Amino acid sequence: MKEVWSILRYELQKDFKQSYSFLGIILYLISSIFVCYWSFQAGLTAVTWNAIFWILSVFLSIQTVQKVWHEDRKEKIYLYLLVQPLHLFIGKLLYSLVLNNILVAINFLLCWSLLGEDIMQQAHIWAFLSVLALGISGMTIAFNFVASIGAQQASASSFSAILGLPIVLPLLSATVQSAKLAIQGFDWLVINPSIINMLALSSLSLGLSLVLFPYIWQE
Amino acid sequence: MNLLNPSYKIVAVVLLAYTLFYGLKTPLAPSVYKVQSSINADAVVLDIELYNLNAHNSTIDLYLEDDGDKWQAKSIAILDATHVQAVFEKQARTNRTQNLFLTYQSANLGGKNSFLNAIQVPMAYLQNENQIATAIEKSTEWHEGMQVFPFREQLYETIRNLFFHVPMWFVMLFLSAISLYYSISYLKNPSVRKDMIASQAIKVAVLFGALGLVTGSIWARFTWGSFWVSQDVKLNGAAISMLLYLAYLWLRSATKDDLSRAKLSAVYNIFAFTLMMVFMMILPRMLDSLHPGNGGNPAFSKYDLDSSLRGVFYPAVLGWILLAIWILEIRIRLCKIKPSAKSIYGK
Repeated sequence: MKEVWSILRYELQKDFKQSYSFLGIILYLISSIFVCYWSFQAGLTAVTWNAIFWILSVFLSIQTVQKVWHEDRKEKIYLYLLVQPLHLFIGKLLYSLVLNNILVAINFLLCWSLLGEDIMQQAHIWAFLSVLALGISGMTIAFNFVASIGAQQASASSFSAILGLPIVLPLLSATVQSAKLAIQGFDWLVINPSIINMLALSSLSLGLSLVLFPYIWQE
Repeated sequence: MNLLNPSYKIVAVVLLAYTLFYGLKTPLAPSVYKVQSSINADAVVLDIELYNLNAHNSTIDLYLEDDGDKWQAKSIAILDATHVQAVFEKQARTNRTQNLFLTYQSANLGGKNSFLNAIQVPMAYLQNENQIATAIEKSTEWHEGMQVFPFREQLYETIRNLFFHVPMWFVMLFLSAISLYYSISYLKNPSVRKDMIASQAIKVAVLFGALGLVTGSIWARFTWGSFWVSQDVKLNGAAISMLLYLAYLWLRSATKDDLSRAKLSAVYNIFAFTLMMVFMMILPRMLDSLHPGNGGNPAFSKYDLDSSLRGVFYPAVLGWILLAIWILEIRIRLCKIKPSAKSIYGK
């Protein structure tokens, strides 16, 4: 537990020291949402809004997870020697979960205010927010595992996107489906089956990555 | 199993030859392809299109049955080899579903002998309007002494694809299970050989998976109307599994260091196999799918009561699996001699 806390503190310090990567992600968000804002003007339907929002969120979480795993080249030897692999994984996972949820909340606020104010009017907002948190957490878990595979490599930048997207696709389709239902204002009863689906897929990838990560980390 | 023992190759060839010959040669059961009814002032006329049954060489008898009431056809006219026109009395028309019974005695099917067989065609009720196409939901046949495949609406002759499309996925699962076994045992106790077998098995599995996708696509075009049905969970699961294994191959080619390549790809392989099991085995059974046996659809085994399909299907599965083992063995041997060939020829 102490180790997990120190990993969390280390990641937080890293983000404050080298804030360029964090700010880069924010910049990516704002600029792509502005591009959408200009190109779509007012002709955005709920389904298109949903698709744009999730595409932004997926690449957002890929970038975040990559930042968490790939920016400690020099410190890697200390992490390797001082921390148990499982604790390292849990620490990094928790940090990226928190970070991704914050960033996705920002993403949601921007998309909502600029692109979809009238779209979200009829939405079942609590259902949408919980789908949002669940979906992004599940994706973060899967991308974390894949990024930890890539962390071993010299040319690691493309690893998360190429290896991670096939893993995340079913979760993503369930998420997009349930988010669409939530936007259209359906009740919990309708949304619940796909939420259960999302939960099952996320917990599957969580269990697998916890079992397999020690093998990746040991050299 | 000693893979250099050639006997399993002979078995594979024999089984696949048997599959190709009987799978493509066995005729479909004679049946009724389409029935059109028209109602005159004093009679009900049925235009019947036959399938695999030559009207000129057979004696055909027709009657309609409805809750125990039977109406024999007043007259049967043979229009051409596959078209028969039957006239029934006006009283045969009711508002309820009727069964059309067609019994035939044919000399030209099955070769030597003639058989007396019957086909039952449940029909939508004959209505007052002229010329309504009658929906045939399912016809039931009785055949004695003939080796035929069942005649199914929608499937028709494509029922033979059962021996090619389905075994492809069995082989794919079999090979990825082999690969999974070697990947797990690599993580427990690393060796170059295990890594090699695991990766080669995936390469062959991807080949068979691609064949499964192609045969399935063609089948879907015929039966479901389009090459890809995007709502079908099993199709999407299969596509994602293929993507996972392609990503596995990409991971192997992108990693330069031999040791970390073996380790990382073994880990990714375990992940990929587990997800594939979820996508292809668990989710389609829970959600809707057009495939037999999924989403509340009856499995194939419920259809082929006469088990004529099974007699070819099981040998086909075994034959394809043995063929895959054969390909895998050749690939493994190739991998073994590659390093020494490199040292000899310098390339």
